[in-house]
Amino acid sequence: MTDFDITSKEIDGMGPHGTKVGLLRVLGPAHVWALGVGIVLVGEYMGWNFAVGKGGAYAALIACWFAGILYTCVAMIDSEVTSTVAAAGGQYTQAKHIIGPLMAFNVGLYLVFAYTMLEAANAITAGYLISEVAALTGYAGELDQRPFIVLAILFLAWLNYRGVLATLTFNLVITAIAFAAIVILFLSTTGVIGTSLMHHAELMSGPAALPYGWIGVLAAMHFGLWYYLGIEGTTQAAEEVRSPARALPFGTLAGIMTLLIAATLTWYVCVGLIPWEYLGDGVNGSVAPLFDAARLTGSQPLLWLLGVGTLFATLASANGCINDASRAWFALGRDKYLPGWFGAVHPKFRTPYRSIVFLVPIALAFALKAPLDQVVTFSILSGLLEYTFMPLNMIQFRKKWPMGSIKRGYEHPFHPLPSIVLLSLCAITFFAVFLGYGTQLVAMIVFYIVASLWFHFWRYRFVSRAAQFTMPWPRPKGY
Amino acid sequence: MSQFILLLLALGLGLWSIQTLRTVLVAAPARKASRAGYFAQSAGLLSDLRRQIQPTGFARMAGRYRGLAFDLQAVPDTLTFRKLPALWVMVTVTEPQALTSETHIMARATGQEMFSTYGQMPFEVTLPPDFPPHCTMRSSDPAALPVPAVMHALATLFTDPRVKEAVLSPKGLRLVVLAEEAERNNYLIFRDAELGRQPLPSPRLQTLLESLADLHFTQCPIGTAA
Repeated sequence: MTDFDITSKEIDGMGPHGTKVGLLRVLGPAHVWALGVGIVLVGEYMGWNFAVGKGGAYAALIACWFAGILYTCVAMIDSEVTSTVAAAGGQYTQAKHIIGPLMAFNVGLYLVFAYTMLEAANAITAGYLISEVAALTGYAGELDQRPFIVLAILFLAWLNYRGVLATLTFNLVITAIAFAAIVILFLSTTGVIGTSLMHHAELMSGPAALPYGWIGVLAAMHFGLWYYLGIEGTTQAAEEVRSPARALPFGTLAGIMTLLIAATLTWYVCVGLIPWEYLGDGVNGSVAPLFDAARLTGSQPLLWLLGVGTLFATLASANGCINDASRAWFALGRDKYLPGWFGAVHPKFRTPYRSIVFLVPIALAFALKAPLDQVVTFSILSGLLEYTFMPLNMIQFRKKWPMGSIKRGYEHPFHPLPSIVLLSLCAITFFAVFLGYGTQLVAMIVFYIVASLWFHFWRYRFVSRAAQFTMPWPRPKGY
Repeated sequence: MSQFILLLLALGLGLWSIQTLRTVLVAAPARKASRAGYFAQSAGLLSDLRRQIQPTGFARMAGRYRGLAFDLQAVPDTLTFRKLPALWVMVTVTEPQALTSETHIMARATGQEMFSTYGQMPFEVTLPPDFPPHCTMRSSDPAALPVPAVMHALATLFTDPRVKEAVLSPKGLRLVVLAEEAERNNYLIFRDAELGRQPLPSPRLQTLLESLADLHFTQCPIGTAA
């Protein structure tokens, strides 16, 4: 344990990696970059192109930017609550303190299923990639993707089961490949290096630009979230002691900017090379659009670079999803929102092993049986429900503990405008999901209603009510 | 040209694979050794030393300091959600105390701390005002709290943000402090948590031993039956 001056006004954080306070040092170049990769950059490698199928090329780009506004509101709102609730645990802990156990139970489920479905989507993409590589290297016939899907999920689940003792100490260089691959593809195909291969004029002319009109732009909002889904979790790796500088939303906003740039580059390259009808079909057409774009260039190095980048992004993302989903499920078990059996800790590996094992068949079932667009939709819907909860949470937070009643590490400006904007964009996105995926929307809503009824009428009797609120705050206003 | 670049890529990937495998094979025994020797620098502070390796691979040590029986444990905590994994050091005076109830004081409590029974304590009690605002207290019997002198000493201890929990029970006294947290970038990308590669510095542990010993003698003045 390194000794350092904990009263220093120049050093923040607590661990041996404390960094200097100040905007540039809060971000840090590697930190900014790291925020964009891992769980979230995978959204550039697969899934976003379903937005093209719903509304055309321009619709996907507009959806990307509006989703950026949505996530900016998420970052601002979340930073205020996170900086004030000293107990770590993200939106789950926030819901326990501000709204109550039923909301916290739902938020816990949103997190589990958003990440479990994302894990399934990653496995599907990895399986597809391996089958394509087999075809490119001369394999006759069609390679069965299912064993590779199963292998990917089981291998990563085993890694997480082993936990700290199986740390592989990956070199950060390999994650640079995922981001650099997009940049290299952009430079190679747009004429910056070599001849331009873009055909935007031909591929986006006439009805190809907005094939379904402005209703298509609205519908594309559905998959616009996929570019950024999970970033609120990726940047919420809180330290035990959070300094006010760390409470600022700049880290998350920097990550959103990184993703916006990556998403725009991705969109530009793909729509300039791939016809929108093929690009927009992520099930039977372009499952991994960047990989397909590289294939169309005819360049073997680019093809392998993007193939490796896609594989790394999907596996890194799936690893994080298994980690986060299992810990959310574990937290629900510890709080008795779910049977306490799930709250067990492995005696040697110190991992939530029962939660990890329990979620594996759920991920496998969706990865093996459901098409990619539906798996992505289930993940988006769970995330969307969480983003809908956040403005309601914020409004309640300001109402119950007004400004000045408790110390806030960060106070986001223009309240309630970000909450209203976020709520409006969430409502638009729900309608966008309904356009074409109404069955999935209804199924998801019914599932959460049934789960809530089960919690209310059965499970709540096991919950230790006094244990839910751990913050030394005054009584809420009006109580 | 394209074949050449392809060859370079394949070579790069191959070299990286070999380097990663080598790192894994070399890192595993080094990690095992560093965790087993986590308290090695502090072994000279205790007499009647006994050592054990926990199932996690981290060391556990027991011995005497200023005539009191102490127990030291290092507990990795990777069970947190939306929080960096941490390595906690638990320093315990395993001597009977003049107490009839169990009291926990926790900083930034979530109620899910794996190393503590804080979440199971039945009563929450208001702390004296000299404690930092993020601290909370729970007890098995609010009518039998520690004496004011002990509470005042604990309030001073908790000004160090690395102090996580203090436990006062008839069986002994315990302090839980944060020793390390996972490297942020590696955790964000890979959920990687490399903890315990550097041993606990002896001066830091000695400070904790002194604090606990002073607390014990405040709680049980010499000559007082526990």
